[in-house]
Amino acid sequence: MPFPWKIVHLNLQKSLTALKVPENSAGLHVIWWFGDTPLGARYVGREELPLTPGRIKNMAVKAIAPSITKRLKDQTMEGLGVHSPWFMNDTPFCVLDHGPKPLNASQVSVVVCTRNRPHDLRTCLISLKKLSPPPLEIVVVDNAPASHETRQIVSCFKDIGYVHEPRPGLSIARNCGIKNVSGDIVAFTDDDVQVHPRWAARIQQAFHDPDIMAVTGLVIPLCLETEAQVIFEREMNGLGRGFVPRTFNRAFFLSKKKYGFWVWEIGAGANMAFRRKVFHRIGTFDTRLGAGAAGCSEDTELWYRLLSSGATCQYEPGAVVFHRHRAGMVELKQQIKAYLKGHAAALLIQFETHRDWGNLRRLFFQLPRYYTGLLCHACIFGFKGRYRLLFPEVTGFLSGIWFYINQRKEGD
Amino acid sequence: MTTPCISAPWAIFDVDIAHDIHSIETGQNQKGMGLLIRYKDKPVAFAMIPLAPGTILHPKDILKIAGKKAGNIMCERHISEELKVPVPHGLPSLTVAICTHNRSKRLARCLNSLTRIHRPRGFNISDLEILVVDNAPPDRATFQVAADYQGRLPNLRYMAEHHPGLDFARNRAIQEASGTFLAYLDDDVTVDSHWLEGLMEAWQENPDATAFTGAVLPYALDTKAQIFFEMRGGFQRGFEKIRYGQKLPGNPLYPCGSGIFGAGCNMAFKTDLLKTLGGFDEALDRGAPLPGGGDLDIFYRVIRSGQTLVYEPGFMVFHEHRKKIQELKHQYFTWGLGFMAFVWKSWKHDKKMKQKLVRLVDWWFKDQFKRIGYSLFKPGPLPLSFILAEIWGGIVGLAGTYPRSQKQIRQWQTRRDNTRI
Repeated sequence: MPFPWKIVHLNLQKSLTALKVPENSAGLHVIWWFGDTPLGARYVGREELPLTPGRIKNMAVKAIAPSITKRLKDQTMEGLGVHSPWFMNDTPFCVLDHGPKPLNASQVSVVVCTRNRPHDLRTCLISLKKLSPPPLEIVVVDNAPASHETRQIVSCFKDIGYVHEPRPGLSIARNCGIKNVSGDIVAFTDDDVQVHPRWAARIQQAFHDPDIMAVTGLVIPLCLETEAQVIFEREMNGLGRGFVPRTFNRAFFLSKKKYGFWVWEIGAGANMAFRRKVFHRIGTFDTRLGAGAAGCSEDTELWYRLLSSGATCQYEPGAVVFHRHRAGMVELKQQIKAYLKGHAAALLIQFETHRDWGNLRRLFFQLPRYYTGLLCHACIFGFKGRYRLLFPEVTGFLSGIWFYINQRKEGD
Repeated sequence: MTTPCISAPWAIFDVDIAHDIHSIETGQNQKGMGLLIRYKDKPVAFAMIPLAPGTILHPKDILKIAGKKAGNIMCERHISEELKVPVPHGLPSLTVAICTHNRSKRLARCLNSLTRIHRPRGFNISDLEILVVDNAPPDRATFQVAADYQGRLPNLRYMAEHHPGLDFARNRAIQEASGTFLAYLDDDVTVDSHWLEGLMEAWQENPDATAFTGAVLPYALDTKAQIFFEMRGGFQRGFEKIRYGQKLPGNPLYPCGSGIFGAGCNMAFKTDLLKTLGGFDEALDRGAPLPGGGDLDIFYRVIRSGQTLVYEPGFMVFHEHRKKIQELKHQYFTWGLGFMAFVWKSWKHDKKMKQKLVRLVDWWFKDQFKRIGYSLFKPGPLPLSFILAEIWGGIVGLAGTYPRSQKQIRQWQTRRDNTRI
């Protein structure tokens, strides 16, 4: 896979201008926005450039149509004074209006968990300070810090809370954050992201329905400069979940449960929010999972518990954060290994608590079959691109099972 | 061999759902309808619906069909209308070439439809030239029709091309054309009244494209053969705009393929491009022994020369399909033959694509055999004899029809040159 790719944000409210061939890059990753709502994206290879405004328009229409179509259909179903069929609406962008009420984020508490990444944290906090409208509060949880640097950085910012959590582990840090905030909605983000100014407001807006207990949002790569970043975003599907809003409810969960529900389709831990009462009802993040323990999947496990309890999760692409993917191949391999380790452990934990056989089916049937297929492909066509990550994936998978067995032994 | 239970005739309706929709009703002897749905003049869907005679479709039924078949496309159109981009100034001039052979009634119908087209804003009537190329005329009937329409179509010219063969006529048009673009129509089509607007819109959106193809819908659904052909997909390529460049995601054999670009009865090219490419291949499209493949060949050469081809649904014509089952069966044979002749020719001349073309032939035969399987186990879609006719055409095409045809043409040319001396 060629790299680097240049990311271009185009606002469709402004008139489109021609796109030129970028220097020193494989092409453009064009993301179309309408005001502050992202609607679609497309990779435009070098060979397709330069593009005339007319062609950009046609590409934009194709890319954003699914997102607009879904919103139009939802609006018609909710019957917000719309009488004609959804496809007859000839001012489709009106569907993005959020009504006469001004946006606000007064119920949102933002929790940022960090561990020894003061530099990244600073840019993250700068972006959080630019949130408009501002959230109720922002709290940084400093997880098992090696120095005072994080505390010093946080003290440079006005009105940002600081909590010290000596026990290492992302789940522990997030649980600590939950205890220390007061908003009705708790939004989590990571220290390696930058948030969009409307992020908090869009999250609060997405909770419009009282049945919605969790909201996730879109994660856009901050840059696609190294091979590792491009492989992660394009071949491993990255952290983004597309531009179409989705609702995951109990009916959806039940229909998929048998086959091992693909919980990670809901979103990513770098951009998620919950109603605070959820934590009283079904508990907090499982401390066996997450970075510093099994590796990850503390977020997906909580969604699984939520859906299983009958609640609804909403994916709202309007809530945007920008994530800096791992730049080096070594770091990416570590990350992927942690993902699979966490995933395997989470499947076993979910089975333990819910007795849904789909989890085991996924663990012992789907995943081995999937990786055998990939391995065969790699043996024939070579270990290139995404296939370079196969080894860390498989070892991560096995160590996840091993991790779970050890945990149980310690528990006994 | 019988065709599946289709009873003729069917009605064709043309409904614009942007305006007040009226109920439509099939006549007392009509067994179904082809429903063309437009939105603000632009076609968005064509539905083939078998119905009992005298069935009424109410506006809400029509909207339901429209939503199901064209909801997404209409939504895309709306979005497209909201996004404003600067359009290139001025429109190119156009020559329309109608190549005809001994079918003066159909030609008159085609010319008549051309008198009714809407002109896009900024397009002068003097920029439209019409050439009637009379191929190997046996009598003066075609000339007479052209003369009749000279008054109504200001820039109409008649010329006779005595060399029999569609591509001789098409190449004659290249020499005679004065427009920047050259559009070809077969004599068995009629153009939609928004045909010219569709072409110009496609050009404005893709000023760099040098070839255009458009939608081809049925002119009539009067006989079983016509209905049957249209139900099998006919010449339809859908109602989404498609831009064919040098790559097509998801199609590993691209640009080699059988008829993905459009149909030869409705196509337009930049005149200069045709001149640089050396025109159409005269060994193809000749009637017996090699009656097809010329359009496949020209589209392929356009793409291979690095140019872009655009499919525009608004650039729409109505084609009169073959009326008799026997003729339709022969047409299937023709398609197989023309396709393989094209593959043979490209394989000889285009070294870079040899592998892909071999894989294409492989895919084609496998696909045909799959269809044989279907027709045996699930009677309905396509009678076996049609598939066999197409396969037989393919085999004949691979068995050296193209070089034979080439040789014949060369002989004719030497003979003609000798007589001239």
